Amino acid sequence: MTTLAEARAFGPRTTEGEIAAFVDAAVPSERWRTALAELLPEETPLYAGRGTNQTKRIRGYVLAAFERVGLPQPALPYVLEELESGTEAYLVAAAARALRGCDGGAAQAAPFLVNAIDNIRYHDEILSFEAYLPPSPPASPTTAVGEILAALAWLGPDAASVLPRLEALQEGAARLPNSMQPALATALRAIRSCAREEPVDCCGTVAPPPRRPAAVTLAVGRARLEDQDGERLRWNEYFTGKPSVVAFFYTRCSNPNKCSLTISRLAGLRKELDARGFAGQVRVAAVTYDPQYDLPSRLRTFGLNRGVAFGDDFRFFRAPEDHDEIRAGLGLGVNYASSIVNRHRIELFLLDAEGRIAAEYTRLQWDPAAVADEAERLLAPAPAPSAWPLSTSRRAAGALPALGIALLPKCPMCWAAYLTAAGAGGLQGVLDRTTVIPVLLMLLGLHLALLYRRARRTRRSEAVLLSAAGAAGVIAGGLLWELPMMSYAGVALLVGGALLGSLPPRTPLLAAAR
Amino acid sequence: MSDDDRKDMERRIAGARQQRLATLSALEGAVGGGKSLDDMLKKTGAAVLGKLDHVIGLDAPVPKNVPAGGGAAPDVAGRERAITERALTSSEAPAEARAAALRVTGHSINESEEGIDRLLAVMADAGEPTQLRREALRTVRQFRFSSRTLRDKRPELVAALRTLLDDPDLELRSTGAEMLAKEKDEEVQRRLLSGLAGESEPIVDAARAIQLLGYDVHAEHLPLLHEIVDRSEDVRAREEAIRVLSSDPSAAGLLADILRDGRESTVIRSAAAVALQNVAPLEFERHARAIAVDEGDDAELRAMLIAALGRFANPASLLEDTELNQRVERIAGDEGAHSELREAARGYQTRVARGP
Repeated sequence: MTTLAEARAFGPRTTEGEIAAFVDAAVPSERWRTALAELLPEETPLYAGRGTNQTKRIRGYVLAAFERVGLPQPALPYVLEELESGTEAYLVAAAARALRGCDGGAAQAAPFLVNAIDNIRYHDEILSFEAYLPPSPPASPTTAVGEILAALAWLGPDAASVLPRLEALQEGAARLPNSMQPALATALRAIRSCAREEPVDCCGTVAPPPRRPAAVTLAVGRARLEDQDGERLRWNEYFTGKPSVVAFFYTRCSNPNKCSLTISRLAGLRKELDARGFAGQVRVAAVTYDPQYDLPSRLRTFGLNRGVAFGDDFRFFRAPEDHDEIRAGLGLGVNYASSIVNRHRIELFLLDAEGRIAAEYTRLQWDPAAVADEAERLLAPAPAPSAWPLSTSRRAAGALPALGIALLPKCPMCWAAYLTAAGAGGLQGVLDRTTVIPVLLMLLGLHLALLYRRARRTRRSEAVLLSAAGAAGVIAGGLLWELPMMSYAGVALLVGGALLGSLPPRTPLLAAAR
Repeated sequence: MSDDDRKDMERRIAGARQQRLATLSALEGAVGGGKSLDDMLKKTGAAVLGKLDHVIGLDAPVPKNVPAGGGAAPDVAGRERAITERALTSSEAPAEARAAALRVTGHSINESEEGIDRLLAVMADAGEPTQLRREALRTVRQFRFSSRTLRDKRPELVAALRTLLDDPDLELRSTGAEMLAKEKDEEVQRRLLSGLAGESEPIVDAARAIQLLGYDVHAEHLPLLHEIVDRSEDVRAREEAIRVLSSDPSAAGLLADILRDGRESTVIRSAAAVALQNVAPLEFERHARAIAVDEGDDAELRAMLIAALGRFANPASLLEDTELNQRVERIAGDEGAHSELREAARGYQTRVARGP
């Protein structure tokens, strides 16, 4: 039997039987979960040279195994990817099964599951996970829609957000066939039972696009490209000098939710950028995974048919001589059987003006507006460095009113001193009680408001209490009863409260639970 | 529309309606009473017909504005459904009558889940008459375009089609395999490849298997096709393999070699030319020019290549090829030249003269 260490050496020559035996031997343990998750990236040598069907079956069998051994967080993006964009019944069914390996709940997956029904219902088939190559007909048949409904039933009340969409599948134009109605009814009953106030998500979250300002390799920078009009140039000639967005695709992709949709969205992104006034400031491009087949004329036709308006800052490329360098340099999620792509992920990179990777969007559908927001941030000028760190400045601001209050006169002797000084400075017309008292009250109010706002974040409510006591002392001692010591004490408490309130938060902020 | 035209149309509508009702009556009798279809057709006064395709009402031209069901009595749709039901379930009725009934009234169940389930069951049941099963398969093929309900029953459809892969009837096997291949079904691809590689009993002959695999560029057949082109003695299989290799850029060298090889037949070399033009247009142009000016080479092939150059190559680059243009001009003006070659040369001149 293949050990976990040996599995890392799985490659193009590993037989399907060996892979299946390895997956069948998996048990619920962290090491096994990690080992199986490591078989999922498209670019692993395991998939090199394998046809699309073999690749699909291996990935699906691995995904389905997570129901039994537990779904690790690194595998969650693969599951959601399949549910969101998959059109192969075996893989979508496997992803729905994998979800049931979450220990607890996976509320965020509910919309993905319902979307998957729309994607797969007209591409479904009878399948089985009873063995890697089950007999035909299988002893334990299932379907992708059946597995999705089972996953929704498993989610139960955590899928309440999608209840209306599921109810629509009972009647009318969207009605599921009779054979699926019992499973749908089961899911609906489970969702309606004992609704919780807060959905549970124990499988973690799908991380937002990671930001890694990573330089591309020299080989990528020098890669030779040819665009849709046959013009030739190097990678760095196009992808430096301005920020750019580059997606990967190929014209023979058979999944309409991947390459075709990517290019349509890219056309939408270009329009979004232009509408924001960034025409000429951000470049957009798509590079084919299939440079030998995707000749310039094919690139052009594919783009035009999806709303692409080619121009200096919107081009498609192939790299017939240097595709391998680009693939390795960017770590593309793709693999091949001879010259044909056998599997790829959705991937889009945002590059800064130096051509470094500023952000990447992989697996899940990206939103043109969100990518445009990121591109806009790259275009924004860097803020001038300040003498004070920003957080220190914010803290100091809360203390200023207290200092101002401290400086204002609060007793007869102080009044005398201030008026003398004001007379010397010609300010005697300004500084009298009728002017200062409203200012004093306003500053007191401002100080307390700022302190209260900060205390909500830092959880230092004692600062607010201290300053409130100080304010009371100033008003009572300085304005009402003319007790100087009381007003001095009030000022001291005000300053003390301001200083206490400027301290850092008592405990680190907790991330919001999803 | 004139009064005469209107009256003529009304007469034709009435006639079609009568024909339709007569057909339904004949079919009801045939599938319900176990009588032969011909007997029932005689009894209803309809013409005597011997072949399935000539069932009354099927061949007769129907005026364009005749509504479905012949626009006859409101219960026509119900009668059609009932006839279809009997055709699918009645084991006493003759096979010919059941098949004829299904041919004429099968559309009535295209949105019925139960009806489609029965249709698929008959199609997959080796115990049912082959004639009826072929008609059921034909009906399913029609429903693939017209029935929303069948779209939702894809799992059942694929399962039923897979049972045909081992059917003794070649038409059922081949048509079932074709429908699955168009769906890019994994099981049929595995079976076809296994049969081509000699690892199992083939479902269909090699040429047909290659053709079916060609529906999915992602099927794992390309390395095997290279072998078949290199070594097979089956001419049809080689031709089909060459055609499918038009999706494989790595086959450019192999295709060019075949194109230039005078020992290969014109059919094979022509197939290689078409495939090479798709996968490596510049490579194709280079070889096509060389063959086009070679008076010792096959005339039909030269004709095809000259026409292809005129159609696909860049006219600006063709104008620069003095040798090619002189040769084409000579051929175009030579009344004694091979007729296809001469026509191709003249067509080439016309297209090139038009410019880019």
